[in-house]
Amino acid sequence: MNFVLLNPLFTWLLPLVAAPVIFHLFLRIRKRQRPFSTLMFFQRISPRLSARRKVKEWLVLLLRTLLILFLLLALLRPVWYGVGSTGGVAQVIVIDNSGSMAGIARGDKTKMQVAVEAAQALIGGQREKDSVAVVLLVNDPNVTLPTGLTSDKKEKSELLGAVTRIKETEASGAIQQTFERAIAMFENSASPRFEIHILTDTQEVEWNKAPVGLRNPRSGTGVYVHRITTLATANANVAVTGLALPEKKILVGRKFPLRVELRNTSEIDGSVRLNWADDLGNKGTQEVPVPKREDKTVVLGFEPATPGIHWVNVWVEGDGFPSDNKAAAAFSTTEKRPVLFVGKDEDFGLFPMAISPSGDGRFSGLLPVFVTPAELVKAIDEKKPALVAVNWAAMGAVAGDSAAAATLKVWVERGGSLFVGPSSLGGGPPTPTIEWLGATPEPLVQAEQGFPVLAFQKGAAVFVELKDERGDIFLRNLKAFKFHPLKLEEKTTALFGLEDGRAFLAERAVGKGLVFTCGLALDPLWSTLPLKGGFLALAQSMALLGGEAGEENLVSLTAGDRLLTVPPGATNLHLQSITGNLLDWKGEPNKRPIFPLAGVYAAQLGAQTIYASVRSSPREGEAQFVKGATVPALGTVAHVVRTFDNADAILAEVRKLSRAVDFFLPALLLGFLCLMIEGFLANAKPMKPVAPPAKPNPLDGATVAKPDEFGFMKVSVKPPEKAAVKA
Amino acid sequence: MSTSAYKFLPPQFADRLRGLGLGVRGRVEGGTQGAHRSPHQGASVEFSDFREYVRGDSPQLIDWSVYARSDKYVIRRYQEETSLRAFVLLDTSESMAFKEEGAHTKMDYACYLAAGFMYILCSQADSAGLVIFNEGIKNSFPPVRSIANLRPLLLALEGIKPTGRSNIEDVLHKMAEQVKTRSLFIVISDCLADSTSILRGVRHMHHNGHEVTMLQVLDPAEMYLNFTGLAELKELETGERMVIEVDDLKDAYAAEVQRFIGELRKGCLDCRGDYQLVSTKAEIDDVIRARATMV
Repeated sequence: MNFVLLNPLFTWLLPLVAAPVIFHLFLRIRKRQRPFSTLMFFQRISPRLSARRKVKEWLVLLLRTLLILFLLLALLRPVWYGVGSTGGVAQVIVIDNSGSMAGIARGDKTKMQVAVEAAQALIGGQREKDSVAVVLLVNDPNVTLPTGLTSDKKEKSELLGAVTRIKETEASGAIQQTFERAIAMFENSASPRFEIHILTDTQEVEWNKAPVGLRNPRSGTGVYVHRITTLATANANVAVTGLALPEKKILVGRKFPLRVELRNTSEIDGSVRLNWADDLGNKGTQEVPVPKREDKTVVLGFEPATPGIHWVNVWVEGDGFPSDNKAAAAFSTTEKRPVLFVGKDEDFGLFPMAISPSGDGRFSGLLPVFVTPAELVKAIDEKKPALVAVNWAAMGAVAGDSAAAATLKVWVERGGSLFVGPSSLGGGPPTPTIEWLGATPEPLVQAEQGFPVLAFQKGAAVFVELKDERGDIFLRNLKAFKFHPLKLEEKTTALFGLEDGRAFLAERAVGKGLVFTCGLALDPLWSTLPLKGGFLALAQSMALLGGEAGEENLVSLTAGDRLLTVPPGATNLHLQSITGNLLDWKGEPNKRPIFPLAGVYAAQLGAQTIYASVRSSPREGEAQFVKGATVPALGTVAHVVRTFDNADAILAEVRKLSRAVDFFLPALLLGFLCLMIEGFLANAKPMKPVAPPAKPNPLDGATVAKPDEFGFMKVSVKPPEKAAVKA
Repeated sequence: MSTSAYKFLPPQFADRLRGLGLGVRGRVEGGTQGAHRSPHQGASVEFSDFREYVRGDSPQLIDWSVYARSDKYVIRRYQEETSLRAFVLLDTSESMAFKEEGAHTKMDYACYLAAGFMYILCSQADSAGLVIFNEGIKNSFPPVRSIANLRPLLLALEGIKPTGRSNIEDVLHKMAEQVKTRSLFIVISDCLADSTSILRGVRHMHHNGHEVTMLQVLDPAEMYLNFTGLAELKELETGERMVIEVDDLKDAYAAEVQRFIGELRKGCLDCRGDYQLVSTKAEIDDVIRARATMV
């Protein structure tokens, strides 16, 4: 048996009960003061009247306090469950199907299986006049449930079947939205009582967050959280926290690294097997030890053989919790890409050789192509280069041609990379020049013995493949013999320069593309940079960095997310899984479901296809659960938290709860009674003093005779009776 | 004497009082020949009684006509007539400052009454004294016989300021002991004290042969509460406060006042004294006239 306030918000008004006392003690009616000759007569009559008046005053005060108390009680709707009887009950069963429910509850049963059994017991235990609905914490599009309460026997039977199909997802749930979906089901229900049963493990990542503006359920609703406890596991839990593709263009025939980020979220050292498979049938596996509470990154190498969209699946085996072990990534590859050198071969020193050591694009996927400034516009349009390298002499010609300059700028803004530097043969800075380069060359500086060169921004993307394990850049002991120092603008980043701060290689982002401005020619006569082994990686990085057309169609999500945006005007959305969980959903874009499981999904919106790479939610593996008697995620909603024992116990408890006494009407009647008595007392006629007993007149009953001859009258008085004397 | 200077005895008031007389029920002892009966026999025209002649009596006093009829020597005796000595006892306690419905404060009203009575007494060749009291005797003026000699008494009335608390009983006891000759005491007060104690003083006076006329001056608002609602009353003499719901107590209050007045009236009458309830709303002339015509 328990006592529940159905409208606990009104407890805030409880201090109002003290209002009559406060008014009585501190805010009495302003009295008129008046001087008076004597209080003697009042003191003679008041001892009786005053005492009676005071008793009356306190009685009225008590009644007023009780009146407010009973009215508040009526508003609070106290219900004593476990006694009495009532009509049908509308039940909404909220099943937590988030990833954490994959944990073991008891024996070999997962929490999800236990929750499903409890839900089946609740549905099976329904009486004829009861109605029921099931709501999932993670709205899994693979499980179809009725959208409202059902009291039909056949529909309940179907619901039982649907419940058996509920599996844990790899996503985190949204408590507030789910709860509001649950209470919305009661809106049109005619049942006198409503119950929400939440079957969950109360994992902290979901249930420990206070809601913002959570609606209170309809009055008469009891909310019961059945906490399914988690069995401690002896295995470590290693989660896949991310898949990182290189921030470069991925080209066919060019190997690229895929970084798999792992995290051991447990207090046990773990060793897991990391598996991967791609769309071309390539697969691999390796053992990865991950110490407790540590992150680990594993780099996998891939070499796409064909252009187009590819995917790779990564998953972990051998740990204690499966729902945070998966990730998938989709990526786009293109054929070999040309690098346009605007000018002659001898103008660029060793730069073309660094772009393609073999000269035909093997190994690097980049093919050098030499064009004149006049051919630049056409070449950009036709060849779709990865990089355009322009020497200063050619840049003057391009800058002088407004159409060529505009085409170049648009191309860079869309993701192209532009390299501008002096010719190996010498020559001054370009005249005219392009404003948006972000750096202006200054007069040449020379030194036969050379200037020591430093890398300024080691964190720059262009240096990513030039770092050793300690994070240092391979390019050491560099010397520059002659260079044009660069005067940098605000948003331009210096990459290489001298110890005194003078820079000769700088980078600037323009739109999605990059502009590299160099103050020296990539020729051994100018510096030792082209002679270093890392020079190839640096040159190719400059070509491969920057965006790529079509990349906006690749999105990376976590299970539980939905496509953030859809193109305006799209009317039909078709979601299909490419790898991983099976999903095939069609409908209006604004009703698009979440992705409940890891995998790669294709979202078809008319002619456009968006590829979503979804990984499991790593938070679901955290083994912290809300333990108190209340659940913060339910905010101010009155609820009861019970530790789940077994399905039979929950059914017995629910049957007991179905009997209840509602104190609304009794409280209201008592309040009305108080009001009546208070009104009677407060408006009663003033009391009159009790008159003192009259003294007996000795002449009462006397008889007077006629006057005698002397004029005297004889008065005869009867002696008073005994009773009169006593009085 | 010009009366225009007196606040409480303006000429018109004095004119209206002219011709009125004030008498007493019992015998009094005045210092001079007057119009009131004395307890002593003496030379006058008012026959008193006979007594047997004894040795030492003047033979001239023998009633020879009686001797002729009865052969006994008897002497005819006559009632002595004397003047009246009256004292006006004026209560000046702070409660006398109360004024609600009346035209004057009770103090002013009492002063008019005192002046009026003293004027009447002097006009009929009696003597009038004045005793001003509150907790005790504050000031006293021995009886004067002429209107001209009333001046200090009338001026004293003008200087009165109601202060302090009232103790009528004590004053009555003192005056009963101090005044040896049978006199008239006109007590002008609101008598807002325990009726038993007041009447003890009155009985003392009566026992000593004095005659008491009690004039209880009350504002109409004191007899019945003329306001309503919740009020905090402050007693003038003590400063004591009391919160009352007037509507609840109105009837009980009026009944209690009537009971008190009844006690005082009965007590005074029991001692052969006079009692007169005076409302400050009443015409002063009428009040004086009512007492003056009592004899």
